[in-house]
Amino acid sequence: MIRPRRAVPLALMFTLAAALNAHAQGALSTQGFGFPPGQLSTRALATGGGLGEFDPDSPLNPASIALSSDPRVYLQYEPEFRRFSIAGATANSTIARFPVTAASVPFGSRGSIGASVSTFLDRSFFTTTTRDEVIAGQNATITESFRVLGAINDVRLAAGVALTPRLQIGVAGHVFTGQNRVFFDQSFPDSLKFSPVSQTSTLSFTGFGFSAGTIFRPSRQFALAVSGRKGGDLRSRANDTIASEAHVPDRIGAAVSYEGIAGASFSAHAARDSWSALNGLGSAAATAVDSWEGGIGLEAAGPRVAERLFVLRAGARYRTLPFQAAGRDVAELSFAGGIGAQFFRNRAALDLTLQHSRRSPDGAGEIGSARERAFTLSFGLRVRP
Amino acid sequence: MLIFAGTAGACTENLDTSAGCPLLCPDQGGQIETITLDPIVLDTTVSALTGQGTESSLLLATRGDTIDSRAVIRFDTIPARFRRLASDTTTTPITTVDSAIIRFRVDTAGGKIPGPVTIDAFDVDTDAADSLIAPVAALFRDDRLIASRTYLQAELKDTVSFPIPPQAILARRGARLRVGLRARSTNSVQLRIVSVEGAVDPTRLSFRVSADTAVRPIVLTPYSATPAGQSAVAASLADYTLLVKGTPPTSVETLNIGGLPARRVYLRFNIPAFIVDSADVIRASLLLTQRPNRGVDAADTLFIIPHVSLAGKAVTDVAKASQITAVAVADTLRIAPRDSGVKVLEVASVVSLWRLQDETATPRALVLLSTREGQTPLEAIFFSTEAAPGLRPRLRISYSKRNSRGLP
Repeated sequence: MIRPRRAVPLALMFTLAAALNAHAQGALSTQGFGFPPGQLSTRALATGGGLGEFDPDSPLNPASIALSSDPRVYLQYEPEFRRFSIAGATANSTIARFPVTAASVPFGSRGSIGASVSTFLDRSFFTTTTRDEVIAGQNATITESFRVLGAINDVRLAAGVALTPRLQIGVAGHVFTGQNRVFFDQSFPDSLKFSPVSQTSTLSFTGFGFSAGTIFRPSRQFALAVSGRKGGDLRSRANDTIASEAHVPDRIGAAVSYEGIAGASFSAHAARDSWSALNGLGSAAATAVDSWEGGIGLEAAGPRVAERLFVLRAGARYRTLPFQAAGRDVAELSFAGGIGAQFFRNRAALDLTLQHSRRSPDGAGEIGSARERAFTLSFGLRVRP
Repeated sequence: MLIFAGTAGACTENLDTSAGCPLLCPDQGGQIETITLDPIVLDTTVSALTGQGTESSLLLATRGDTIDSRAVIRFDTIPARFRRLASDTTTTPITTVDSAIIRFRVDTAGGKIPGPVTIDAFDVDTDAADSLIAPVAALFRDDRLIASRTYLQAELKDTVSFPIPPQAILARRGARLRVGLRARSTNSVQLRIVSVEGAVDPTRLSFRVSADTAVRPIVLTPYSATPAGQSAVAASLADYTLLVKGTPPTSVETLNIGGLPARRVYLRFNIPAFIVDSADVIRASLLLTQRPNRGVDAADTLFIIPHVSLAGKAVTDVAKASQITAVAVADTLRIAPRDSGVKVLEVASVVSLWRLQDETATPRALVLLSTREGQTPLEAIFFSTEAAPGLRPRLRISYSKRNSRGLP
C-alpha cells in the first residue's frame, strides 16, 4: 500500500491504488485489521450506498458492469477529517485514501469484463504513549510509538452479461492481498544508559473469494439487485511463515431502485457481512462481529449550468463496523450529499461527495463516552477513453 | 474550494490519535526483562603497550618514594653553520650563541604544584639503545646539569620559557642536544608538558647566533634521528616520558586500570545468543566491584572508558588484542582509586555492536582503560573472576521481550 504525500500520477494510481491511507489506532474505526471504506464509488457513497449494487464503479455486484458499452476507467480519491474524543481528550486526524480504482471493457454487444482494486480493510495508524518502568533498578520513562501502514485490498476480475434487457448477471473472482508494515519504537530520555528499540515487521495477506450477482428490472420504474460473495481462505504471513489463518468474510447484499419520477432515482440497500470469519487471523483482542448495513439515497437531475447538467445526490447509511473497540460493537451513522457532472463531450465525469459520519460504541462507562466524527470528501473521476 | 480543501488535507496528514490510549490501543508487548549474567570467560590486566613517546603529554613527577617521572626532549639537529640572510648562498660557522631558550607548554590539569617548582635540565645524550630507561635516568646527575630554574606556581601555566646557557648549544654544534627535564619542589610535585603528539609544535628551542638583529634566530622543534631507519619510532621519541619509578606491579587476582606504566583490562564475553542475536538490548551494565587502592592520589578522580576489541581470533596474544580497539560510544566511569563497592559502567551500545560482529571471527571483548592513560599515576583496582562469586565482574542486561509479528 502506498501513502500519498503529494500528487500521484493517475497511471501510477491506477496501477497501485487500492487504498492509500493512514489511520490512527486509538480511534473507534481502526480497531483490529482496520476500517472498511465500503467499496463504494463516490456516486454510490452519496446515495447512502443505495446505488452500490447497481453502480458499475462500485466493485460489489459484478452484474453491474454488464451494460458498460464503452471502455471506462474510474479513479477515486477520498480524504477524511476525523475527530475522536473520549473522557475529555480529543484528537484530530487527517487521512487520505484512494479506495477504488476500476476499469472495464465491453465484449460483444451485451457484456463487459472489468478489473478493480479496492480497499477492503485499511489498517494504518500511529500512536505514541509514555509510561514509567523500573529498568535494572532505575525508574525510566519509556516513550513507545507504534505505527502500522497498510491494508487488505480486494483485487477483483469480473464479467457481466445482460441476458435480456431486463436481466443482468455477473460473476467475479477475488484475490485479497496487501501488507501491514509495523513499526515499533521505544525510546528513553537517558540515551547514555539506555538504547532505543526499533522493530520493523511486515505482515502480508493472501486470500481468495468469488462473487456473483444479478440485476433484474421488472418494469421501467423498478430495479432489483442481489449479490453475494463467498470467501475462501485468508492467510497472513510474516517473513514467509504463515502467521495466522482465517476466512474471507462472506457477504450478501440486496438493493432496490425506483425511477418512477422523471429525472429521479430512489434507492435502498441492505447487506450482511460475516466479518466474524476474520476471527483467528489476529489475536483475541481483534474481535470481529457480523454486521448489517443499510442505506437509502436519492439521485436527481439538478440544475443546468453552462449547458451542463448537474446531478444531485443525497443519502444516509447505517452500519456496524467489523471490529469491536474494547469489547463493544461500534455503530456508524452517515449522511451524505453530492453532485456529479459530465465533461469533455460526456467522455469524462466527475462526482463529488461530502459525507458526515458519527461512530459510537454501545454500552456505558469510559468506552461508552468515546465518539468519533468524520467528514469524508470523495472525488470520483470516470473517463471513457 | 472542496477540491482545494481535499487536496490540502491529503498533504497535511495528521495521524496521531493517541488520545484513545491506552483503552483503545492494544498492548504492544513492550515489557522489559532484566537478567544478570556471569559472561566473562577471560579477564586480565595487560600493559597499555603504548609505544614509548606516543603519549600526548610528558609527565614530570617527583612524588617521594612512589613516582619518579621525567621528560626527555631531543633536538638532534643542532646546526654548526648558519645563513645570515635567506638569500645568501654561503653559510657562516656558528661561533656565538645568545638568548637560548626552550619554550614548552605546561598542562597543570591534575597536577600537584604545592609551591615554587624547580625544573632541572640535564644533558642526557647517550649512545644507549633508545628503549632503555636506566642509562638515560643515570645521566640526571650534577655533572650533566645544563640549567635550573625555579618557577612560582603562577608562572607554571600556558607557555613556559626555560633559558639554557649558550655553551650548551655551542658544545653541540653539528651534533645533537638531548635535554632531560626533572621537576622538584619542597614537597611532591607533578605536572605535564604537552608533547608533540598532543599539539602542533608545543616545544621549541630558539637561540640567536649573531648580534646583528637582521639575522633571524634559529628555531628548532623536537626531532630524533634515532633509531635509524625507523622513522615512526624516531618521531615518537622526539619527546617522551622517562618513567624511572612507577606504581607497584599488579596482582594476578585483580584487574588494574591506569597507573604507571599504564595498564588496561581485557574482558572477553560469552553472552547467550538469544540476547545478542535476537533480543533488543535496552540497557547493559558492566558491574565491577572495586577494591580500594590507597596509593598515589587515592582521592583524585580517574575516568575509565570502554573500548571494543576488534582483534580477530588470529590474535592470540591478549596484550596485543587489547591494542586493536575502537572507541565505543558508551559510559565513562568516574571513580577515585580509594573507592570501593560495585561500580556500574553502561555498555548497551557495545552489546548492540556485538550483534553485527561475527563472534567466531572476532571474540566479543571489552578493553577498559583510563582516559589519561600513561599520563597520570592514578590506578583503579577491581576484583577479577578469580574472586568470590559476589565480587566478580558481571553483566546486567535489560532487553525487550516484544517479539510481535504485527498481528493486531
